[in-house]
Amino acid sequence: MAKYIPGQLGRIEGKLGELVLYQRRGIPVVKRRPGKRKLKASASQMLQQEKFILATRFLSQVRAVISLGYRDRKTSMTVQNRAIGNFLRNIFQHTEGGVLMDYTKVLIADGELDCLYETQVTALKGNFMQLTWLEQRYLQSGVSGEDQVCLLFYNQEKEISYLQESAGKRSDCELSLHLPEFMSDLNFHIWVFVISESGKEVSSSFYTGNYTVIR
Amino acid sequence: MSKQNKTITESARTVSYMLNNKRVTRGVGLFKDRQSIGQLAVREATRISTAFLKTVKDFIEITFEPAAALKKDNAWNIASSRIRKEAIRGLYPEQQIDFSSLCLSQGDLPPVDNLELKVEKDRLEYSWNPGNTRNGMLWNDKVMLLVYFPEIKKAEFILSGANRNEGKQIFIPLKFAIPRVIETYLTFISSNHKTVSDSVYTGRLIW
Repeated sequence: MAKYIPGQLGRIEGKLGELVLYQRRGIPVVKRRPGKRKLKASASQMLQQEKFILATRFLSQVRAVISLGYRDRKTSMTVQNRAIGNFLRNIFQHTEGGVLMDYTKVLIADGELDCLYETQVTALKGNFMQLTWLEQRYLQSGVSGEDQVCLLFYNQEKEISYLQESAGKRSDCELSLHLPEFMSDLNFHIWVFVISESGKEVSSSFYTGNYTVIR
Repeated sequence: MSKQNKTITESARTVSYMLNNKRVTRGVGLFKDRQSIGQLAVREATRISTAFLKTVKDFIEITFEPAAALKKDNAWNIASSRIRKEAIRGLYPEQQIDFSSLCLSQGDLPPVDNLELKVEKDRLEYSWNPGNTRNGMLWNDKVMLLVYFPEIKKAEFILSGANRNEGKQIFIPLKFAIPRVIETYLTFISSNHKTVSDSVYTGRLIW
């Protein structure tokens, strides 16, 4: 991908003849303007496209979390690309009718920080959700009792997500959340992950299961 | 990695730089030739040992530091080398770590006498002979304990536990709802961290 140095006209972005100029991670780059595909896609290409559509649609719902959960590693890839790559490799199940997303395999955060152990979710009346986990007596370096616990709720039917940042601290070993009214009686996939106090490190996420918020 | 006395350079296939006050040269770039079974086996051993060492990094950085200082190397390299030589068992691609042969510290301090491990409902109780001070053992040597959960690749450890003359140390590992296999180790380190004993494997338990 070509880079360009902005001249006297300043930075140019958008289509310019057969080229497209844009910024990638703050660097101005140039690529060929995309054209229409002339050949019909093969079966495997169609399958890959189907996966890509599903992954991108899911990603667009949880974009705020992805930018938190995938920023730990220092690579040249954008957080979006890392997440999409991870999804395409791991989360799809092939069925006769096409492909299905396996939510248990979705990593909405991918990092090196120590995660929580034996996390258990209990849905309680009045839109309450309780989460418990094991107490860790012997914390390794970089791990702190002050690390922030984050939860992501995702409803598959309505494609809505709800992120609860800093829901509690690692040392608390339990937390109780009062969820907003719009989540009542809906079913949510729930993931948990931890962010260090400095916000620089993140743990890999853990899928806790599928729960209904009880009014 | 070869050592050279040349200036720091970089060519298409090698790079030279200073590492721990030594000039080193190594290859760069992707290895595109077809790999032999021997090469694949070495890579697999490296992958396994690195994955394990990452979980116990804080521990081995202390326990292999005296050995690393003697060899003018770093603790990670010494630990990695020992695991690959002594604890990787099996043929490629079925290699795995033999935890009973694993050494998690290296030094001249003599091993502890009359070591006993008692497993209680929620804790591990280690005890040893508190009065023994032969061959450089000191009353204020600190016990270091490590428990490794192979199924979830998680380690817990105490880096500076009881003094030798106290004769006992309690360890309370994570208790999961499902019983897990744990591998347990113990070692002693001098209070100034300059000498350390070889680690003692205290067994595999269902916890």
